[in-house]
Amino acid sequence: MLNAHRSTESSTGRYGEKEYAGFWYEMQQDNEQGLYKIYHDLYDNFYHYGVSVVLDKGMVKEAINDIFVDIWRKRHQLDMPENIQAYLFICFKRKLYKLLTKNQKGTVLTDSQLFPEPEEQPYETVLIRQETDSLVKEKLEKMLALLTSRQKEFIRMRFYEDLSIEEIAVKTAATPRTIYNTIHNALVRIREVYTDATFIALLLLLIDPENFS
Amino acid sequence: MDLQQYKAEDFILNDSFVRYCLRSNEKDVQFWEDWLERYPHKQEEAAKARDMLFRLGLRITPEEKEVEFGKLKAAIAVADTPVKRISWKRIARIAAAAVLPLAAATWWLTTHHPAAPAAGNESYTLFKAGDSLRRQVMLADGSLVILNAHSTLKVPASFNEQQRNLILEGEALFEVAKAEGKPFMVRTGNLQVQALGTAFKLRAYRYDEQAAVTLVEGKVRVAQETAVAELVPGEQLTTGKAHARFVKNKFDPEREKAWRSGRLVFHNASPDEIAATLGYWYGINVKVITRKNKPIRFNGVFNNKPLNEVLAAVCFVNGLQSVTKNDTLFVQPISK
Repeated sequence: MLNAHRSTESSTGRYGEKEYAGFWYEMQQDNEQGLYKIYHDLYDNFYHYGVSVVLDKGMVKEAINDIFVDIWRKRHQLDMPENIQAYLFICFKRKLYKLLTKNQKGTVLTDSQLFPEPEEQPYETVLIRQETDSLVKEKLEKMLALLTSRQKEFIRMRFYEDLSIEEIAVKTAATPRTIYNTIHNALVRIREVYTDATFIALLLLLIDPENFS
Repeated sequence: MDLQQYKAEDFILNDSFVRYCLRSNEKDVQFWEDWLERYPHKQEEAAKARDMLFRLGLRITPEEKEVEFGKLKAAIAVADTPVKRISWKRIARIAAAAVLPLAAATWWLTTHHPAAPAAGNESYTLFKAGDSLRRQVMLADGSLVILNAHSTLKVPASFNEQQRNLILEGEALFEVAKAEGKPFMVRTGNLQVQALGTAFKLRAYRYDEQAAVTLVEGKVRVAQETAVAELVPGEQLTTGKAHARFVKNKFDPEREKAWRSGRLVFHNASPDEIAATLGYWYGINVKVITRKNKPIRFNGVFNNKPLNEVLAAVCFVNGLQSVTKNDTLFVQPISK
């Protein structure tokens, strides 16, 4: 399970509610800079939450931009919410749900994708899900299956939970040297898959978006 | 280990490098930017490491985010014209194809607010002036509207086709462009003001029981229920908002000129004058309460300033504070 370490609902960006009220006010004065400040402040949290409950990056990015355009459109009709961040987060959740149900027509919707209480997925699952390309997804899944649970645990702690090697050592009773080597060996494998993924992403950027969108 | 021997997996296990990627430490950012500039042959491995770090952290890279932000800006630029739904695919195409012209277009679109509604049978484009700032709207026929604070102007999609009908709540000054055979009509509740090539101001705030039409130049016809009146320049007509009670007066042209230019002047103003001026200017109900034995006077000039700035000045100079209760803004002594 993705733990609460970087959970979106509690953690927020650099600004407090007071600044948010100011940004909101700017936006209602038809100054889009206010909206953009909120966007930059919340983006990472939204993105992170999005990929952890939903399918791929593309959908999450689209949902985030959608809600900000919606808010901008309705800026004169909307009263300033009491808690702007919480309000936007609810908007975002709803949007994800809409996108999900729309894109899933015809296919079966599994329980985990149902809102309003979406379940955050295990780290490994999210790692695979965030990839857009199905070939990369497949390779990544195979590769992750080859890693030991220790390797996966250390990777998650170091790069997802942002713990230092020393902190991991305290938590797991392994020596820093062992942890370092374990992660290193895992990274050599992961790197191969990701090199392909980067290559594919670059290739897609060069092709006319018309062809694949 | 020698940095020159570093591969992607070594970079990513270097804490300083991680801080550089996440931009969490200025010194590390500085160091790695310099280092990578000095050793360009290591840039590829470093880029791989960085990409891996973002993926494993379930983070989006700053570059990807920048692309998304570009799409958002493009969408915002066209969001005020009523289009059914924005296609991100289309925007992605535009964004990818032309970043510079897009920036120019964004600038153009945001500085030149589209006034003409596009589609829909009975749809309106809403223009709203917010809490404390007025807003200028250029209509499709070339008429200019200065929308005062707390005011809403509804422009039907069919505006300027056969007719020029508008709906106003609040207050606005209309400088009407001449157009033969296309009457210019503003409605607020049951009150109608019709004009041909003229400049007039209509005021009908929700909190106010009175409405007023002020004619700067030209000629207007005011109709409400069964009453009809014509105004000549310099005349102001006040009436009840619910029922016609027409009263004609002369108005102060200097005051209108100042309003038009956005220049708000307080000259030795008493509490009542401050309240009346703020109410007139920003379309709100204001009460200024002062302590006995502490008469206040206020001087100041404000050019197109939002209400909160003006209030802050008034309050600061006189040791007052402002509180909003229901529809009314109270400016009162600071409570202890």
